[in-house]
Amino acid sequence: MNFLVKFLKALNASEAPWQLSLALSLALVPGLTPMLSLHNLVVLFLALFLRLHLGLFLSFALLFSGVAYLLDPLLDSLGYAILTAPALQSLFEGWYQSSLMRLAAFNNTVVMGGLVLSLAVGIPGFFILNRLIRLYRFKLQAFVEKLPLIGSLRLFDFADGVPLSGGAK
Amino acid sequence: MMKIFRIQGLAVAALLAAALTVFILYFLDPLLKSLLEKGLSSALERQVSVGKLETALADFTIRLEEVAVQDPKEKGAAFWIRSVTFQPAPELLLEKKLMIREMEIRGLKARVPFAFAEETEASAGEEPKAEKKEEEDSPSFLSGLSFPDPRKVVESDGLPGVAKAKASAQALTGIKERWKGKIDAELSNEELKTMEAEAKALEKRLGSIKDAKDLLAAKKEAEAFMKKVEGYKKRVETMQKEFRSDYAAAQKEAKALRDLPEAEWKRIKEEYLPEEYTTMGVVQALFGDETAGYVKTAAELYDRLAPYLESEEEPAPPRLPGRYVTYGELPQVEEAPLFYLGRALVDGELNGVTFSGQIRSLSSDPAKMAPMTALFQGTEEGKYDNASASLVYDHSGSHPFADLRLEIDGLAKEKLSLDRIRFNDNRIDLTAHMTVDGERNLAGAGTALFTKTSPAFQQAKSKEEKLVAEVVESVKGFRVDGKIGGTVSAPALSITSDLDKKLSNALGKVIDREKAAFAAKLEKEVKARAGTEIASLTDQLGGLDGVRNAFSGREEGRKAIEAMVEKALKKEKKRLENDALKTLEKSLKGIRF
Repeated sequence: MNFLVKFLKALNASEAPWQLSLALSLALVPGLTPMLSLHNLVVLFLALFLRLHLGLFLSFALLFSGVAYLLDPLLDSLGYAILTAPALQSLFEGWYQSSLMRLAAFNNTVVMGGLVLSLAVGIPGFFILNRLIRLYRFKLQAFVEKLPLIGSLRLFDFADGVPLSGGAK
Repeated sequence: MMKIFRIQGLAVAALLAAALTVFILYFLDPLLKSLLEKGLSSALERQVSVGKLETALADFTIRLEEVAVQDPKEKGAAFWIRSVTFQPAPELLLEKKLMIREMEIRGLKARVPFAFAEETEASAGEEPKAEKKEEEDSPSFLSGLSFPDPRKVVESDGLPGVAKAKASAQALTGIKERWKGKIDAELSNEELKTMEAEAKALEKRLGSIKDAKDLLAAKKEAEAFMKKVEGYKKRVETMQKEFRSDYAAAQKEAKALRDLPEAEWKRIKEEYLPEEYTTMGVVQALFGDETAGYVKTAAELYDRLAPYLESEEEPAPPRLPGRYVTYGELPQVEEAPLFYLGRALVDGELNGVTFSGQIRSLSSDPAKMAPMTALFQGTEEGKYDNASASLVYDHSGSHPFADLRLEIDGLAKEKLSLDRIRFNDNRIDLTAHMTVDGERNLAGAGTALFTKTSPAFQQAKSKEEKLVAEVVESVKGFRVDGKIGGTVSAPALSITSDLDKKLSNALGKVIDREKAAFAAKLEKEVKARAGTEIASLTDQLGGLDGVRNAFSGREEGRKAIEAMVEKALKKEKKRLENDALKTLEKSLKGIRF
């Protein structure tokens, strides 16, 4: 519920759609892969560098981690299939010689499965979410504002007075 | 641009990067060093110190210098390494596992069970202390050869049989004194002489009988006298009976104690030189400790190594840990034990002997390493001066094994010391063979032949030590056989040697010689003590013989008196009978019918 409230607040807030969609897409990576991985450090830095919605990123990373428990068997199978794919063997053998790559645990089935799935879902998901947020703000936001339940949640309180629709691109 | 990037985020990232750099440059090495020392000390249960630790993050290499593992029982380090360089598998470090593909160990020094001469000489300053300890140890160590002073043995034993003989001799003295008094009193009284005189007077009286009336009177006097003699006889006979009883008891006692010296010797021999006092028993007593010392040293060595062999159960991870796919020599991460070492190049020095070699597939949990052992298959051979070693290993099949053969021909070792025995100018020929199979079972045997040795028993001072030295110096060669079984984690090592037998043969002669000398002295001492008492007893019996003879004299005197009176009575009776017949005949002649 908290995630939903946070998401709805962000959705109706002044941030640009890409800030929200990128936060969600990036959250998939630490969410679906083991948290203490080297690539997650890179993702965290990215989240800090880029002006995305940090609260949303952290909240959804946590949410996706919970989902990952259920997906672990799938991630393991997927990762194993990728890591043992004959076409990729030479690439992985090269990576395996690198301490940094081994430190990144690329050869772990759950890490590889989680990373590939998060990228596979996250990259197109970024564009799709962008589109959906825009559509929502233009066509549905005004209607939603009028719903009594939504109004009581105070989802439309803006501190900076930025207009509701549109936003920076 | 500013709408895409967050300035504060960049600042935080830059700050983090700077902090990380500072940490890596200034704090990582000391922190790792401290953690390593603490972790190793805790794992090995003995103090581990690392002189210097350097990390190179570019190739993830760690280099340790001056690593020392303290010996918990003695001063100084049990292991000392000049430098160790290795590349741990980083992904396993995250899982708190240490996996090393390649390692270089340079300048390893370790204490080994044998204390070679160099070390003994090096610690010359501590010799007086060691000497003192040996002196303290000597009595128990050489108890098998320590024959006591025979006189002290006799004194401490007390010879109870001799004490009994002494008591008997004292009792006999009492008997003798009593009878001597009685017989002296008997001899001093004039009773027998008076009776003799009375008998002579009676004889004369009988000779002067005139008629029958006189005869009857004389006969009454004779009967009264004979009654007196009979009374005397009864008194002397009673006394004699008592004496005979005492004399017989004394003789019986003396007879029983006649074999006392031999009996006492037999008893004391059983006690002080029992049948179990065999050569082997003494050898065991003398050299058992030495053999036990090896076992103890091996146990201590195993104790030191045991922490390296132990593994710990890993806690269950919160998420599915996944599987690690390998593309090289490293094993599956999830299968990896807490510690694994692929290959280590080692060189160092063991008590003055330099060596170099390799350690392969060292693991805290070798059972989990089975899948990767397929990578190790082949033969390696090495030669060092007059030593050669070959290792055949094959972990590719369903029955993995490693087979090690070691041969050393004519190794010259100037000095080799056990606890008390030093072997000089040794030539050692060694052959050993050991197999480790996939189930980690050990099977092996080895023989070491020591020839041309000149053994010497150190610091022989006491008589017993000199005897042992004599025995030891007679050994010119021996062999040591070893067998190993069990498993890698619980090896069963047995060591046998013909040194015991060789020493026992030589020692047997010395022991027999010493034993015979001791026995002869002890026998002489026992028999001398017991013989004195027996002689005293014989003297007492001799005194009683005098009493017996005196009794016999009295008996003879009394018998003579009796015979004299009887003879006189008989004679007179006959004479009177003749006289009566003549008178009767004369009377009859005057009568006419």
